[in-house]
Amino acid sequence: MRVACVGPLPPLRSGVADCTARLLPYLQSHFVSTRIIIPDYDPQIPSDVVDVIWRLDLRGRHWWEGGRYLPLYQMGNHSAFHNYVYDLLLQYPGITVLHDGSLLPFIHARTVEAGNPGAYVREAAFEEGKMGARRALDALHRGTALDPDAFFMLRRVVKSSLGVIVHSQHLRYRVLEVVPEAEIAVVSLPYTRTCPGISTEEAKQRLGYSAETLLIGAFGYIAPQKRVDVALRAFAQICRDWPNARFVGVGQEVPGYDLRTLVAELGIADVVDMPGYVSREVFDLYLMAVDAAVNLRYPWSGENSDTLLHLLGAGVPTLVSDVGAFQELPDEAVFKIPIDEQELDCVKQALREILQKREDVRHLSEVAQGFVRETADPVMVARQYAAFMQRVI
Amino acid sequence: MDSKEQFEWWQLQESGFRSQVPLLGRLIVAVRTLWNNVATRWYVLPLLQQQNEINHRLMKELHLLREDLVLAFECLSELDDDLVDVHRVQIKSLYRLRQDVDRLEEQLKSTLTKEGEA
Repeated sequence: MRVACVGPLPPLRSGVADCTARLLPYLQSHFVSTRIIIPDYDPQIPSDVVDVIWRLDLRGRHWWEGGRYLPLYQMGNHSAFHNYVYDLLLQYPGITVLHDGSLLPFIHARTVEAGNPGAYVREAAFEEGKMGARRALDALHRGTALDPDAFFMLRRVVKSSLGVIVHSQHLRYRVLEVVPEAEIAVVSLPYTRTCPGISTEEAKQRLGYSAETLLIGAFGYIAPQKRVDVALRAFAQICRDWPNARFVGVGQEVPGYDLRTLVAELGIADVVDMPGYVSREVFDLYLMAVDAAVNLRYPWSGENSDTLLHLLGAGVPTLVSDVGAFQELPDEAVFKIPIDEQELDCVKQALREILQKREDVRHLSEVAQGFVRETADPVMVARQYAAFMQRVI
Repeated sequence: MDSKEQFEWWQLQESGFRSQVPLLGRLIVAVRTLWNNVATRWYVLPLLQQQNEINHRLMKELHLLREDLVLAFECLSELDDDLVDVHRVQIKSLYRLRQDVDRLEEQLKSTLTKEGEA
């Protein structure tokens, strides 16, 4: 079997791109030929992990070669990265790796925001029939959006695919609700250790902190659903008890989510660092340096967290929201934070526990690392991909 | 309930006169109302009613058109659905055929190699 991987790759700043790049070297051995299909940039991947890098902007033979190559699509919600993936997966059905549980923002971006509201109604009708069309017309009339809890906009992608791979049982159930006859497999995101083999203390020192600093981190895109504001409020209430504690938010802040004002209001500007987007190497240094991480997510729209996988793989005691795919993690591997009015108190309590009993939470790191080893080994993940693709064809 | 809320947005309503002029304002309003009652009201009111009936009919028509549109989208989605299914099944068959061709090519190659050796 020959496979054509279609999806974003580094240097595009995307978790999907990172995951795909990690998986490529392990996929290669399962197929006669492997090629990647990209629009108009040069991917940063080792040259020997695929046979051909096929740029869509170059004329010549068609990448699909009349069905000789089975496409493996990496589909997510980021319209800039996944528009061409969506176009191709409708035209040349293949296997789709679904990274998000709702494509509503993606569909909105490529229809309404692109000046084609009729296509939006058509998609809503494809998803929910007459009721979908009516709701979409209403939404357009009022200038509002469709209800994200009622319209996942997955149906066309799933129906167009020969098979769908998801990363959690929660998303599997959601897909089967939309298309009960779908061929579907649950396979973990692949994990390979990218962190340097250095101690936490050394990582702290390389980042300019003293070895005694207690570092709490939040990683990845800093957006409202990551609930970094809750983490900061909790940190503000406990940091007086640990004068050497600092909070660091590593990642790009989404426009309009102003945490710096909140930090100033909480009076913790001198103990909070927001370095913004950093290179992968520096990101990994921060991963190694932190004593605890806050990786909350609510509302949850069906996605898995690549950053969380790296935190668990690095053995960082981590707080997650008790929702969706995160509920599938072993209770002994993470601190699960409820998404109700207890959230702030629970974050505070968990952070206190980690900072007070750093030796006692070591078992948590071991369970987390064991879980990642067992489920996210890239050799196994690639084997599961290949087996599923064989089965579906 | 506010009296305005009893009307739909497409309904025309009779409105009273108002004046911002200090002291004489009430007098101006009274004169205008009197003149309106004598000269224009009985002419305008039936027109208002007629226009409301037209608007009401247009609203009904728009509503029916919207329902037709919803039905059209529903039909389109059913066609879409069939098209997607047919396309997927066709492509799946194509992949299978391609695999068969690959296998046959391999077999042919190995047979020719064996014959060559013999």
